[in-house]
Amino acid sequence: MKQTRVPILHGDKEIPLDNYYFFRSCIMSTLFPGVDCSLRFIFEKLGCSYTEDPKQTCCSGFNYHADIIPWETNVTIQARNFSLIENEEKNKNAICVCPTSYGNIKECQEHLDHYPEEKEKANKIIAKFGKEYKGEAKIYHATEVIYAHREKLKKLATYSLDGLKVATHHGCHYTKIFYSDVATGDWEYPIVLDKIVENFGGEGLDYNEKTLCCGMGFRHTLINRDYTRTVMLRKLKSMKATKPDLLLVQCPGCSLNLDYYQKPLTKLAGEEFNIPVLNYAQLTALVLGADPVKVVGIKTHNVDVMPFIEKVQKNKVKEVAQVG
Amino acid sequence: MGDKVGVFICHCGGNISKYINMEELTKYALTLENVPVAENYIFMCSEAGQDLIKDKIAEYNLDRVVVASCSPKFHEPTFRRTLQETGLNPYYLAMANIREHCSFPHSDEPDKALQKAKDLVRGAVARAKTLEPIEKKKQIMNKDVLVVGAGIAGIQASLDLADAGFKVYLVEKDASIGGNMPKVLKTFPTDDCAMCTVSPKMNEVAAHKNIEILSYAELRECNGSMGNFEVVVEKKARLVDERKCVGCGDCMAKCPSKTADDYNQIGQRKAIYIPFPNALPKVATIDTSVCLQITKGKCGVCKKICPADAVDYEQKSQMVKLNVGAIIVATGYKEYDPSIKGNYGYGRYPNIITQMQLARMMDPNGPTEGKIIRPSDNKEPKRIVMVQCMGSRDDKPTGRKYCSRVCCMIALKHANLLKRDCIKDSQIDICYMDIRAFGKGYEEYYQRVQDLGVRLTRGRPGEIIGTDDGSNNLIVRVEDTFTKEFKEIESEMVVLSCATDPSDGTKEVAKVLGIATDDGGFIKEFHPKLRPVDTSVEGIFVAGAAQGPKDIPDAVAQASGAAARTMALLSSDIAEISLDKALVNKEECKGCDICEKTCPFDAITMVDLPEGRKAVVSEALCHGCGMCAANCPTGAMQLRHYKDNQVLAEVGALIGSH
Amino acid sequence: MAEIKLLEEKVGSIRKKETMLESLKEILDDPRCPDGFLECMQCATCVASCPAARIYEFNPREMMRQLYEGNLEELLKGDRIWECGQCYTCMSRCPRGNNPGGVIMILRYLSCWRGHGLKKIPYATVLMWNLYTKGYSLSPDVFWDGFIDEFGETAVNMWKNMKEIRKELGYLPDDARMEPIPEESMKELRAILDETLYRKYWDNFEKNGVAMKDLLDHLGSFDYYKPAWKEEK
Ligand SMILES: Cc1cc2nc3c(=O)[nH]c(=O)nc-3n(C[C@H](O)[C@H](O)[C@H](O)COP(=O)(O)OP(=O)(O)OC[C@H]3O[C@@H](n4cnc5c(N)ncnc54)[C@H](O)[C@@H]3O)c2cc1C
Ligand code: SF4
Ligand code: SF4
Repeated sequence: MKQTRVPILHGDKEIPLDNYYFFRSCIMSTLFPGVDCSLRFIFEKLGCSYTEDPKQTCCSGFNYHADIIPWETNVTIQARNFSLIENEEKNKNAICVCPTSYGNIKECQEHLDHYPEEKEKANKIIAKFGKEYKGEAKIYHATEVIYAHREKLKKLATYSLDGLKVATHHGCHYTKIFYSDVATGDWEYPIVLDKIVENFGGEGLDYNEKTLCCGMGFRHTLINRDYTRTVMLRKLKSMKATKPDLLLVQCPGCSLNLDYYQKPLTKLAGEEFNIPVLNYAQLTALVLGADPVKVVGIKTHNVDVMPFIEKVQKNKVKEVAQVG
Repeated sequence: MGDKVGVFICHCGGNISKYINMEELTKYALTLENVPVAENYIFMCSEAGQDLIKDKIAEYNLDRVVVASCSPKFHEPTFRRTLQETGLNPYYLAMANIREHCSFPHSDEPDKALQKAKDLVRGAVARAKTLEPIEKKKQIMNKDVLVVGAGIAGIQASLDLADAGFKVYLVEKDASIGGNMPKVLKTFPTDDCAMCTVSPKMNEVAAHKNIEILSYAELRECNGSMGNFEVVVEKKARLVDERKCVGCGDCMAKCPSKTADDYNQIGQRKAIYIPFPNALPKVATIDTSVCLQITKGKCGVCKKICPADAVDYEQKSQMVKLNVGAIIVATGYKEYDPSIKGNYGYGRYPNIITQMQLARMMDPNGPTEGKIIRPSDNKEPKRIVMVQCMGSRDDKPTGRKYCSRVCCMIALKHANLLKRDCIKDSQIDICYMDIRAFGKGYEEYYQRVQDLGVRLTRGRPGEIIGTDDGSNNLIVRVEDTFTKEFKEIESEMVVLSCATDPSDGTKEVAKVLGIATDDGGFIKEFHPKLRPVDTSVEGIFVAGAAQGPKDIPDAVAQASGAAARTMALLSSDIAEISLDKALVNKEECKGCDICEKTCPFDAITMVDLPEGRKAVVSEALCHGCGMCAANCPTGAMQLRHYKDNQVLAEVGALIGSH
Repeated sequence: MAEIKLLEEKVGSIRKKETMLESLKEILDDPRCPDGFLECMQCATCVASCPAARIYEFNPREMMRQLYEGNLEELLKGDRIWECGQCYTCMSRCPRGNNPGGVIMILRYLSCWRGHGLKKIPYATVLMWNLYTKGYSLSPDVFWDGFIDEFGETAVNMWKNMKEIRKELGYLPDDARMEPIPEESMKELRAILDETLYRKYWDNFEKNGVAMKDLLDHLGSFDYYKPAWKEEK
């Protein structure tokens, strides 16, 4: 199997270059289906084999952090999902689109692997419908995978991000839970997304509140929005000071808040933010020439992304027929 | 094969006897085959205890001895000596560790502890029977000493030894001797001038007839053992003739090439440089990585300008071979690089500096001529925040687990100097977890600093970020844990009190010498309490911050300690080296190379002999670690005191029925 | 004399009777309890990094200390534990390998098991049901009108067209994906939910006198939801 090594804080980790199990996120598919479409588009362009398994259920990570799914249940759900991955013929590398999926299923896996008796307990339940978690599933985040493919992607790019300034926001559940595993190094100042931007010729911005959480807070985002607003205001103000053309995010939850809240926050902030928000997969697909509406799915965005896309489309590096 | 084994069981003053029934254990030992005598005693290591062993050896004509007591790390040498004094070979001793392996970990289960103690004694007896004599090799003791690293510790050790009449080779990696002490400007707790303290010592070293300084030089190789080390030192090429250069500095003024100043850690220096005005030897050195003549082949300004004709671009490095009897490692420390902790912003925000950088700014002879300025705009900061434990006491993979010991005092000293001398109207905040003012006069110093109005906030900051207004000011986020107030302290400059890391040179030297290091990479002392300046290799000692974070008083005291230990060793004319090392059985060796690759000390070479390719062990290099023996597929490689049959006898007895 | 006796009694009542570890056991026994929990040195890195600590009187450091002191019950009954944003910045910075956010998560579940916390998770009815019936935490149909309203006009208008937009991208209007999770897999998932603590967690609402209905009232705009769980069984 093809793979490459990507630096982490101490040493590096292996990232497979093919054979993916596309571990879908319910929030992503609900709010930003364009991210899924973009990722499929990228895989096809790269010629990677991947599985989209209807049998995979939600990882329930949102519910877990929103305090409504006991740990034991969470772990057992994952044992089932892992067994699906292990049963794949070749596409055994789970790649999560969502940082909370990544953090949550990795934590569940660690738990199952660390406590044999817990694994046994989970396996006993899923054995009732003929499933077993063996302990072989490998978990990655899609950002790392795109980063690992950066050279090829650069060659495939239709547009460049030349002259464009991008503020990035990394998902807390990607950078802070398994902090030693963060691709490209320092979890305290994560730059995987910035590297993706730079790879396409853009500039990643250093803004003061770069590592601040988006304010999602799970239960807060559902029933206690004042928290979310307060945190986000701090984040957006600091970001705005660096005048970004785009805000690049990693996580459906962050996208929801950072995109949906910009307009309603205008009054409170006393300034307009108007920073278009895209996800790493959407930006990559866009640069590769994907259709903004049919693939990237910008109609599901609150802040108009079109002005940014127009800027990108001015930077054509090669003539490629648009693939929809 | 021993057939009369005496078993001696120690109470360890209660540490063992409180949990394990001594009488039962003694009775059990007597039931073992070939054990004619078993005794227990309150302190076997005491003189009376040793006499008991000696008496019983004579009385029963014992030929092997088992001592069941504490870890062999503590008293194996003691009991070996006891055996030797009765005329027995010291290697006829086997130890059963019934303290660390029994009474300590199983203090809540006395029955099981007793059972385990019985098992261990049985194993040790079985092993004792198989033990073979090992002789010691005698050599003439070389009385010269190599001191590596010429910081305050290396300098002190060299002077002590040289004053006592020993010849000392003092090797320093950098262009000048002195180490870190000359950089720190003033020293707590007396605030006297560091340079004025260390400079006379540097001159004394240079003038001493018994000391030969090899500066701008590095240790490359070390062979041999205690009493007879053969070392190779590389004298790097300065591209300046040390004998001709008069240190006038004309070349520095004219040199067109600049690079980051690695001595001052702020500002820049020229490609040809003398690191500081009091440097010793006061000669120029060319940094070949930035010298235009070397990198581009054109310039030659310094050569033209030098009044003494000292510049020599063709100069080559030199390998110097030295023979010494003992080595002292005093290779010091370096400041932890805080840029790997992204949340503290070092390297991204210009106005965040380290304590060492601040110290260099305060120096009237330093890069800013004593002015405290913000790197972003050269303005004097009025509000300064210091952040303690930057990287210290931190479990994270980017942190250091240990306390760096000096940083609390450094921050207090700098706060004091800033308030009293540099910026009298400044507001200084120190964010700390605990102030560790442990030394003599330190707590009193702490109080004086509090009186100056320096504000101490008890809390470890979570992050430092810039302000959005373009002022290049900083915000330190911290909770005052006493008032539970979440504070954002806005400041014009932040100073990080960085952890102490072993210097790169310390890590390199540990590798060359094959001495053990601890988790942090510092040189490991043989025993933290009883042999604090000995390393894992006999004849090699350690002093100063190379052994662990340390202030100057401790570094100097330890240096004198290391010098005294060295003198004690060298006072004997004969060096005795025990041969409990690896041994090849040539007939069984198939020349597979595995041992050569596994040996961490490069003690094994493969030699083509008429009878085939065979492994050969160098007695001088072998540490007796046993890696080779464990990996040898044919069993040809054996460790003398741990031969397969000896280990198997012990294991067999351990797992066998009782 | 009487006064002295009173004082004596007071001293007696502040004297700690239980041993430290006993009252902590529930936390320490949880497999998710971080290694460094007992090593907390009250440095406050967590507080200084915590977005919630800036907003509320929320203080993860103090909570760690309260637990250490055995004041578990008090924390479980209070509001504080519900203020954490679950961002884990504290965990990623704690120099002692503790994980306040993770400990708080353990506390929240404990609080719910004891009934105190159930009022804090009114959305549970909707989301737990959604997972049970569809296999997702969130899907388009749970983004009820009331939820979207707060995001303002643009969002409300967009959501009016959301079904169409989804169809254009090949996605189902009410399900999260392009095709629903097959019924067989749903059966498997439900088996897991029924056999693990999920069901008990649910029953816990009733047991603690928190009727689902009350929760729904509390939710206000959640009213489109009909508690179908009961009906199904
Ligand atoms: C900002 C700051 C302020 C301080 N202020 C004070 C103070 O006021 N009072 C106080 O008591 N302490 C103070 N200290 C601590 C003090 O600096 C140390 O205790 C002291 O310098 C230790 O001396 P050393 O000789 O062990 O190590 P070093 O000073 O580090 O000397 C080691 C020497 O070995 C050389 N070397 C390294 N590797 C090799 C090699 N492989 N081969 C040859 N040579 C090598 C180095 O170049 C160096 O010259 C301060 C420290 C800092 C960072
Ligand atoms: S950061 Fe860790 S050690 Fe410090 S107060 Fe918080 S939990 Fe305790
Ligand atoms: S996880 Fe909770 S306690 Fe920790 S920093 Fe985030 S909001 Fe604060």
